[in-house]
Amino acid sequence: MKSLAVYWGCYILTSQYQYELSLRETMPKLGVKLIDVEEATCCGFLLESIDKFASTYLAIRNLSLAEKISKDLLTPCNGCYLSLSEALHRWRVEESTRSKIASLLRDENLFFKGELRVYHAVNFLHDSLGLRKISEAVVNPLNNLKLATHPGCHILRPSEIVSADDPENPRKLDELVEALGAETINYPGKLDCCGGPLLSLQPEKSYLISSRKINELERIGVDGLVVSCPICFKMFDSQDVIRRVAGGKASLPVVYYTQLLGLALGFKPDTLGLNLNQSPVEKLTSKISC
Amino acid sequence: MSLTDLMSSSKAVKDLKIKIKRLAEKNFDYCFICGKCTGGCTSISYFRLEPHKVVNMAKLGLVNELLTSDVLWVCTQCHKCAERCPQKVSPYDLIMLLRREAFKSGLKRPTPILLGVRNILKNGFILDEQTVFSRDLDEFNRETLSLPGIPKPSEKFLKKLSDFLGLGEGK
Repeated sequence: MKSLAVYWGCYILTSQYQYELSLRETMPKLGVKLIDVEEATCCGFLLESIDKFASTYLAIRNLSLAEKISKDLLTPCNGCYLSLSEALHRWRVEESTRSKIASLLRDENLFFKGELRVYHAVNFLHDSLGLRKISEAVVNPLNNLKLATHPGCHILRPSEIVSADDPENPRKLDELVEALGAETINYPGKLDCCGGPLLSLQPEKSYLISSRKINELERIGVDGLVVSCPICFKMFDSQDVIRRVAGGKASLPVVYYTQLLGLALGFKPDTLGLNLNQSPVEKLTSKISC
Repeated sequence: MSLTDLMSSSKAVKDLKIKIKRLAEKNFDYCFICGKCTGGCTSISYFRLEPHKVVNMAKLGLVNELLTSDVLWVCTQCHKCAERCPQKVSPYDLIMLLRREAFKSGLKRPTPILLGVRNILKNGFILDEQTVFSRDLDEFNRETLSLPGIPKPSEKFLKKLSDFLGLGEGK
């Protein structure tokens, strides 16, 4: 069994429980053991707007806690993946940042070598575990589903720091969905941002941004939208807000990739937290046997 | 939201431009206003964020107007402008740098950001653990879902972070 550290980040630990449930359920079935990074904190994403060094320090501190338990770290959140990857990059190339942070870490008896590999769920599943292993584990193929994927911004850009997939033509999440037997579509707004990082600053209007993709996909006609980031998920799944803020009749199932994976591996919907999705996922689950 | 009124612009401040340029990791003087950044900006249609204007105001030294503008705070941080800039200017990095300068100088300190920081200093995360609802309106939390508790970082570390940010209780 392959084991690796898992860093969840704020959104998953405090509210996006269905992402955590579905990852915790599915990974052991694929031969992966997850070890939680204890005493982790925010990845530092929020602090980028107020203090760059503090943001890097928080990220490296989390990475040093992870390095104590594994050579590899998995984070299921796009925002955390960028923060941690960027901090690791800075640690490797900026001597002054490295020595300042090393000294702060020493106060807590922490030490960071910087040899850790950071994966997002998408490139871990696609590149490290592999599509074949996933498709071989499928017991309930999702043959009747036509789905759109939303890779999200921070596993793609800036491509000099994060390289989970091709920044202009990402395909990995689509291939992961196809490995479960479902069909994926290409659509013009695939690379559009969900608006999530604006959620706290613009609690209502930020949903105008996510509404565009939901309404576009409703017009095209798909069985659901597959997401791999907790913030993107919240922006697309909260369709009562989308209907109120942007008008329209948004009613599109939105699921985490790991929930979809769980269905294909034979788990029951509630075990994967599908009852916690606010979008009408029964429209999707009714098309498959589960 | 509009960035500037050309008829009533303040004067350029050369020293501020020099300061921002020194802090910037990418040289924004290389911008030749192709407009790819604004063309692909997530926030253009609903919030009128025009990254090429931010870059060119910085070039001209109209830094004070930028630091006090709400426009800095409507960026969705999607990084498209930086990714697609043929001159490797990164309007994104400049916007974030200007946010930090506005925050540090006290010109703009948006409440939601302050609340997030306060929460980090309290329990390590930007949010508190929430009770969520199923579509049938049943209540759930980590405990009822049999998810492990969230370990809190040490008080010592939180105190250090607080001193570091200069935003501890009472400040």
